[in-house]
Amino acid sequence: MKKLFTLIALAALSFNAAAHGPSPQKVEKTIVIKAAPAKVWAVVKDFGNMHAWHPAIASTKLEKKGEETFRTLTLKDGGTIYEKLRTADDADMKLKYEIVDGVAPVADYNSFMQVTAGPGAGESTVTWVGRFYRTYKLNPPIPAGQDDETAVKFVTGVYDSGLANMKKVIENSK
Amino acid sequence: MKNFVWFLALCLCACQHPPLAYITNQGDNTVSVIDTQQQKVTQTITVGKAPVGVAVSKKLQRVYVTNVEDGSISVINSATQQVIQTIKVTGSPVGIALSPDDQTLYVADWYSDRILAINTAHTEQTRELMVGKAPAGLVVSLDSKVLYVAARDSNQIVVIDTQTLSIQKRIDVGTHPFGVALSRNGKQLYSVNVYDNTISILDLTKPDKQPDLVKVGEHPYCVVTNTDDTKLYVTNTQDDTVSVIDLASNKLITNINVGMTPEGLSFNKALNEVIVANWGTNNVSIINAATDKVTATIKTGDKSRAFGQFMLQAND
Repeated sequence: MKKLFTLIALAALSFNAAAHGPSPQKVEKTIVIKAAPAKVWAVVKDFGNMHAWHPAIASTKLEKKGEETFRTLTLKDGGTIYEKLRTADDADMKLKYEIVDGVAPVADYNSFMQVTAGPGAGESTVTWVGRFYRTYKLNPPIPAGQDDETAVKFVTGVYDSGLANMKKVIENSK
Repeated sequence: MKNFVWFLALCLCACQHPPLAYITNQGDNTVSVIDTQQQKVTQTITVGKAPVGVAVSKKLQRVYVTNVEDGSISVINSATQQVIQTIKVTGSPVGIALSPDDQTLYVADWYSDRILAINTAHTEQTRELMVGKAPAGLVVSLDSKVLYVAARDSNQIVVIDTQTLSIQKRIDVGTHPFGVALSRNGKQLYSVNVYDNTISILDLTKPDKQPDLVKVGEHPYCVVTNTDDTKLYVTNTQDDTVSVIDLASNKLITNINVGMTPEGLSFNKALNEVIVANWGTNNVSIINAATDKVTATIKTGDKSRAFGQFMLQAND
């Protein structure tokens, strides 16, 4: 957990809509939660309440701009991440979102979270997948902190700590 | 009659060598060689770091792979499936295409905004040209005289005279063109506009005509036609689908579910199928081009990309 905050703190604010890197990175994590899929999906799809289950997030501010939905995540160390909701599909129990701006050391990040039933009766599986690039957008040498490793480590930390705590929060609630 | 012709084509092909797909796997630095008749990976070849682009030559018996993270091109002998040479290029090689006359290998250097033209007979002989921001997909005209480059961050297709290696013109397309392809007859050019979720269809016989635009899925990447130029197949990386477009009406026919984050795709003429590399699920989907259904999924390596024309077949 502490590592995660350090990573966020280290991250240079270098978001930009121009050219991304040539090699996309991926993090894929799953967790099994002892709760009905509908209950888990209700938590996952609640775009404006990520702080309710993610331990690195202090608060979430939801914002509507016409048809579009955004959220600002304020991290416990003070940094913010601005994200856009792409879709929340009740039939597939799949939420898609992207990072627009913020302190995360990644570029062109898009992600989905999906809830499926099983493996056991009364259990749900949450899959969280992100695709993104490192922040450095020039030929090598690649500076430390802007490389693939930093980006992958950051996202891995976010997913691991988030899913573990989501499980705890849901399983402990009645 | 048509079926009979296909049957003959299949036989001819079977008597020679099976159509092979060369799939680059970014995550484990390999190329999976798929025998498309057996529908299985027959070899896995180690190449450079983070391979992405691929081009094949039947005549030269060569497969060229761009390794973007170590700035090199691996040259594979397709008879032995061995890497026989590694060409160093400074920069970040991504897109790659061979001229139909097999004489020149074109490589797009992503961050340096240039194109390299490598003589396949003497690979130390390289010409280069600055083209536009973030050159991505490449394709060469049937007569080998014109190179088309998608300059992603310039939102243009750059048209290059290959003899003089000079820019003839720039065609504005949609936002962030990535993949490009030509029709089999060479008369149409297709640009995949990633940020617009569209395909631009350019009529090369009518240079003054505005390109047609066809809406596809989310974040499309690559495009290919079928054998008789009646349909276009497009990978939609963020919908996990392949769009099929009818080229008579330029209308979307259907979206086919494939693996996660489909990127490169090529047409396997001998078997009338489309082969799609799925970056997110580390496999390829095979689409029957008669029914537009997925008929098989084959495990490849980690993060399959296969950006380019990756099918090596006897009747090309």
